[in-house]
Amino acid sequence: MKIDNAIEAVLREQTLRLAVTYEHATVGIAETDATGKRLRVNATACAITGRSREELAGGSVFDVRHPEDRDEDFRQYQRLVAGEIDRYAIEKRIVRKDGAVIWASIMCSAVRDEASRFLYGVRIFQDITENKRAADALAESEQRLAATYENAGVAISEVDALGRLLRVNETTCEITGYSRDELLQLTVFDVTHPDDRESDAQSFDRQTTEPDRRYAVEKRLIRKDGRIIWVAVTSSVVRDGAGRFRYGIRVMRDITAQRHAEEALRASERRFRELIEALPAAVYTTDAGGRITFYNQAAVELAGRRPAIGSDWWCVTWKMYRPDGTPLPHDQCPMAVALKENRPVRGIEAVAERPDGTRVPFIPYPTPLRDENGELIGSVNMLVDISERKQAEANQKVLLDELNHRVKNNMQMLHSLLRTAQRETHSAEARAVLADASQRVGAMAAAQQALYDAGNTSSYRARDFLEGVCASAKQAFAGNINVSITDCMEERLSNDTAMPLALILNELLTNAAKHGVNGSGEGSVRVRLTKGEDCFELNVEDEGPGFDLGEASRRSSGLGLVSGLARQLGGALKVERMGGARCSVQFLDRGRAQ
Amino acid sequence: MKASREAARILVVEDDFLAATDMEAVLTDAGYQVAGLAGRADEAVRLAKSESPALVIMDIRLIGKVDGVDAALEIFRETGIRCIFATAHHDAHMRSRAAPAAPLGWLPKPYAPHALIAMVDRAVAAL
Repeated sequence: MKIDNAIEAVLREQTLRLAVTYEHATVGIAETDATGKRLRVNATACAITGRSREELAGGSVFDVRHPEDRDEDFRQYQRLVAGEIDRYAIEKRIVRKDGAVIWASIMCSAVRDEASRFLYGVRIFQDITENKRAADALAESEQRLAATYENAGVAISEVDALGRLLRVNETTCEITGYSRDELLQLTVFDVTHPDDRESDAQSFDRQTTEPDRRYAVEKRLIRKDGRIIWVAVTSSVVRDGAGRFRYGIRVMRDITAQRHAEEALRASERRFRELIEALPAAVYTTDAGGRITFYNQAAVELAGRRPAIGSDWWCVTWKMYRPDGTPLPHDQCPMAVALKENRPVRGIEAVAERPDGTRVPFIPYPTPLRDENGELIGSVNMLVDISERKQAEANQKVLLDELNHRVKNNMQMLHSLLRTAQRETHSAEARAVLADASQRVGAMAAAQQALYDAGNTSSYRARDFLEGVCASAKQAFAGNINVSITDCMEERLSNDTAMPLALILNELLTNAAKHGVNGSGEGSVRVRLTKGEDCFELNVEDEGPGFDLGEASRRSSGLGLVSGLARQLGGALKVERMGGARCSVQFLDRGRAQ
Repeated sequence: MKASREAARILVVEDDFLAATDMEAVLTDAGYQVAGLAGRADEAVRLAKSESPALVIMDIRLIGKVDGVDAALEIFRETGIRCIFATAHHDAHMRSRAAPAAPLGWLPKPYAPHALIAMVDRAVAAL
């Protein structure tokens, strides 16, 4: 009796435990008959579905909201019942009592008797809504990742430690011309140009042992069709938890077009550089600050030195001077001015001194260079050697000096010839005529002396002219005739007027000396040369009785000469009697800009 | 020769007074008559019209802005009288400018008196 009770107690305890376990398992458990009707459910089943035991029991598991969830479940259940399968798993939607739709994972098995006949089904199910959501999100994310990987515009591939391709995207196939299958048989070095293979392999090997090193390389790739293209590859590593190489990632871009463009640009730059080198003029460039960035061979020759790129400032020359010989510091040279004031500088001459002491006169043409926004980015300068020009100028000056000297001498010779002839003739008339002639030539010679002083090639100083011609005329006068210049303008007159004016002045002075003196041969002649509003005026005054122009002209060819020459100068002779005789010749100087 | 020379009256147009009087003397000595001396273009045209010379000896450089070529063109246009041009330098451009005036000749300056007379003789014979 006692033993039965003990056995009963154990049995009761076991049954209780079983029931509790059954009830509170974390999965929903339902027992179903062959039609799928629920016979018994556990508490968790109620919790999951939100329905009470009474609502669940007696209902069919195939009574579902979503028909598509039913068909597969029903089919499999039939097979289970029929004994074709032992168990099956399925996922389906369950509508809770509160209307919420959840996803459940169901494992269905059968309990059979000794004859393997179906007794009842056991359905174990769990709410997998969250899991499913997470799984869906993950699947979507993976899908996106895969799509991105596949469709990236660069070739992405994964390689093992030996460089064998493990995985490649579509773009890799496009770039290499191989199919995916073909690529997975190859290593990255198989498709690399032999000349580039070794360095890539070395870098890759280093990377497998030092996985945190990322490297980039430009190399040639040999496509399946044999065509060689240039690619830029970035190689990085995915590591495992211990930091060791797991697999390598190779990202590759076709840069063939880019390299061609770079090569074309380099070739173009080379051509321009050769062009500038070939120029016979010295050319150099600076950056915006004034440091020299480039120079051609002609610049080296002009400067007599090789400029130091990056440390020479403003100018390639050794030392610089202004044309007058004063030193010109480099930081004040035309290039420095051009950069500091951001404008081209023109019209400046300078002299460069070479290290060997020789000097070169030149004209610089510094010009600032600007970018598209107008910002100063540097400058270019051309130095034109003007040694030859300077030499030509010097030669020309020598020639002009010689010519001037020669003409003066020749005129003096002429003057002397006439005076000699005058002295040697026995005829009084001849002597008088020769005297006139030699005086006139003397006046012209004196005028010539006033020309070309200090290198002035087109005009002469009126004062020098007046003094010279008066002195020359006076030589023929008697000692007690005084010629004074009472007023002379500071202006210059153009060379065309010199000879006519000299002859006019000589004539008037000679007349004044002849007729403008008193009985004892004394007299004063006053000469003035002044500038009026629209003309110049030459006056010769004496203290004599004066004369009538018309009458005098008839008798004196000298006054006819004066009138004709005055007309030639665009003016006229006027004679006034005011105490003495006053002859005035007004004239124009058409050679001058008035 | 002398008879035909006397009949020919010549207008001298020259801005340099001394050169003009010199040329006048050379012409007169050779037997020609000098119709007048002018130093300016307007003077030359006026004298050409009033004196009706057989020909004009025209210096290119004259007093004033108008030069001898323009004066010659006007004289030819208005009177049909032609010129011998006297000038220190003349180029193709000047010759082409002067062509419409139907020049009788080009006398280089400085000139020798016999060269001047020879050219005038030839011109007078051709007229």
